[in-house]
Amino acid sequence: MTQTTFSAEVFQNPYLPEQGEEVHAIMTVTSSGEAVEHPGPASEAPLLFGLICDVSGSMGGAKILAARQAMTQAIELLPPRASFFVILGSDDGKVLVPTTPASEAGKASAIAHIRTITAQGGTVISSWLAASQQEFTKQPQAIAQALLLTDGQNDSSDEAALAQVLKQCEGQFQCHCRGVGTGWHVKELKAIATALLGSTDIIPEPAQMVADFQAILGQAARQTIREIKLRLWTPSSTEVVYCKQVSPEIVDLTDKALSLTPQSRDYPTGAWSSCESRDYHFCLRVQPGKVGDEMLAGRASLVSIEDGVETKIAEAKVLAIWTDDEARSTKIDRHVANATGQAELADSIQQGLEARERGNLEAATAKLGRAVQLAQASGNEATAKLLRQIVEVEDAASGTVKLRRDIAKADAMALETRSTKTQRIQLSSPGKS
Amino acid sequence: MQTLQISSDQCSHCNSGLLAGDRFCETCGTPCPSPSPTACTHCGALALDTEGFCQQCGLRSPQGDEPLQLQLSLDCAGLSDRGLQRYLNQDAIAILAWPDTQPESWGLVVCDGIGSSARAEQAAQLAAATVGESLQASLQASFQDPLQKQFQAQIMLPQTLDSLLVGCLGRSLDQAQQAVAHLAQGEANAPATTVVVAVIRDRQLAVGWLGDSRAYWLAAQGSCQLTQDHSDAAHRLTRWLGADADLHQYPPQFVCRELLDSGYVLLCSDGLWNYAPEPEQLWQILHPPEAAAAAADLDADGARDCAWAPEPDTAILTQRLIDFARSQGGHDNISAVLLRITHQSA
Ligand SMILES: [Zn+2]
Ligand SMILES: [Zn+2]
Repeated sequence: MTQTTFSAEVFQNPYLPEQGEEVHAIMTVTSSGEAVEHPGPASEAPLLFGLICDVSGSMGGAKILAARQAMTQAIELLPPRASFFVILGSDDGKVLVPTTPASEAGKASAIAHIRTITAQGGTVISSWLAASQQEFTKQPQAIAQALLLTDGQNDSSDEAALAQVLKQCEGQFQCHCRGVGTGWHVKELKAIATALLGSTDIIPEPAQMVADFQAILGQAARQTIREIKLRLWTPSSTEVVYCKQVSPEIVDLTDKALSLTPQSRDYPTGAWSSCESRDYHFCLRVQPGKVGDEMLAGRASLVSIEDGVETKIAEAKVLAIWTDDEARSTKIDRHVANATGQAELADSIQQGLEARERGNLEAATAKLGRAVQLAQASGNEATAKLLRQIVEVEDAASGTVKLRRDIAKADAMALETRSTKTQRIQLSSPGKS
Repeated sequence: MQTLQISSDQCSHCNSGLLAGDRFCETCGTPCPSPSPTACTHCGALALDTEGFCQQCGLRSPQGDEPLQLQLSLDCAGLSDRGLQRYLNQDAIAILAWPDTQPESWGLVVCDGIGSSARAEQAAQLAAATVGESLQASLQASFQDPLQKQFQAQIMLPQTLDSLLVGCLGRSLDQAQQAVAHLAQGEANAPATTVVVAVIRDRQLAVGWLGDSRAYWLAAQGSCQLTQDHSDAAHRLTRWLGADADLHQYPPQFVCRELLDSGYVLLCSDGLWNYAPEPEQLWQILHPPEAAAAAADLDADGARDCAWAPEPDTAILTQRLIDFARSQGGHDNISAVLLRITHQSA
């Protein structure tokens, strides 16, 4: 058993010029586990894992065979503390395996059922999610995680129903989305994953499914804390411009705020493992003070909720100090600068790919060139590599690039899906930003 | 603020002295008055957190505007002031007396919470209180121990008395170290503080310290600085109390001295000595030229024949020291504890 402790650290330049009203701060939250004999309240919660597999007609052939194999392996990897279920998705969501403990017998029976899966019918994702939510209500105390696999676009008539179901599912379970092949829509899956605090990725070839599922399962099995909320207090005259997770991936949480009082609100962060680290970027607009004034512009705390009991597990303060010393107020904290750079990198990629879709190659080249420059400057090698599949880089430092002529659709989709993955500040090269 | 108030430094019930941070009188157990809630100076809300940030408008209000004043007799007083630039007073002071002992014995403490550490004010207050409590207990015991008859009879050799006092000081600093280290919550900048402590017993003075809070001997002649700062050329501290201090490798230092003349023992934080590092400068503040001239007049009139004129209340003298530092900018918290030693043989 492990007992998890959390720490929070704020990076910011609190100094503002006269009349300055925008405060930026990065909060790094780190969890660390320690093995204990008699775990306290923050010990491991049970895990309920849902596999949601598209079995519409387009999945036939190699895809459905790979999906069977990948789900079989995923189930075999489930830890003993877990339970699981399997939903088959087509025109409706069918429960193939209802919630079952991950015992040897439970796994064997589920795997036998999975062998019988065949592909036919349409794609109505709202019904798949609704069926999953039904299963998750069976274990309300469990860490609720799901993996949704699809290869196509959602039925256009399902738009309103999907939006409604997503609202109902928000906060009930987390859902990672995977698109196999290139017939699916990045924005569509990202919208689902973002609403349900999960990741999105492309599986270009069915053969890569097994490894991807293993990675997701491994990650889910490490989650030990069911739910943590990020509670942000601000003074009465302060406005939250935005609150984003900025590492390991950009997730805008601003609209997910649940207001508690006019001065405090909760942002969901989902489940946590006992060994991970995430960064959050707060941008607050404060009422300008006089030179020499100090203000507590925000106080961010992490609140864990277990059996309805809230426990504050870490806290950090965001300050504002007004000064007439320009040397102090014009400095930008390196962590803030890095987060801003990574956000611009993601935006540049998004805008560059959209311009390319529209056939505006000049704008596409300019935006993707800027992205190459930002990826290089921040040391985001993973994104730089994806960019090189789309553009030929002449000079990364200046962002001079040429659009490639023949771009594989999977490469463009991979870049679009992974553009929000960020690189943390590189501490080995201090003072560089 | 210039007027002197003897505030909560004496028990309202039995008048015995209270230490900074005491919640109950050590002698009779009467609760000390808790500081009244202060309003935000910006929006008026009664909602300041421990660091002075308003829970309504977020702005910080200066804390501890009431300087902490301690006085146990006309000869011994301490004053700790926020200064003009800091939002908090992170210094702490304590005074101890054993009025039943003959001759009188005294304990003086000044701590300066290290600004770059977390909750420095707690570190300083806890260190001052712990050192005070430890000395109270250990010296009281030694004064009352029948085996210490020779001590009572004042036939103890000065060296033996020195080692007794230094032993008590060392134990008190060890206990303070344990207490302050306990404040740490795993943060990178654990709560930390300097400390300087003096015990005066039967003309023997023993001083122990860690950091750059100082002890001085101030007199008409022979003023000197008793401590040597534990800091490097860049004024960074090299020794302190706190979870990240290693008292085995960087132990406290001690100095002993026999007080044969009349004068003052002064303990102070760098908020004072930064503006007057030389002992002669500090003596000048206690005895400004006009006072010296007045004394000279008295001499000329033959109205007094000893070199030691009746001295003002030490509370007024500590106020003079604090006022001086404030007049120079008051950039840091300012603390001074002063004990007058009067040589009777004149
Ligand atoms: Zn009392
Ligand atoms: Zn206020």
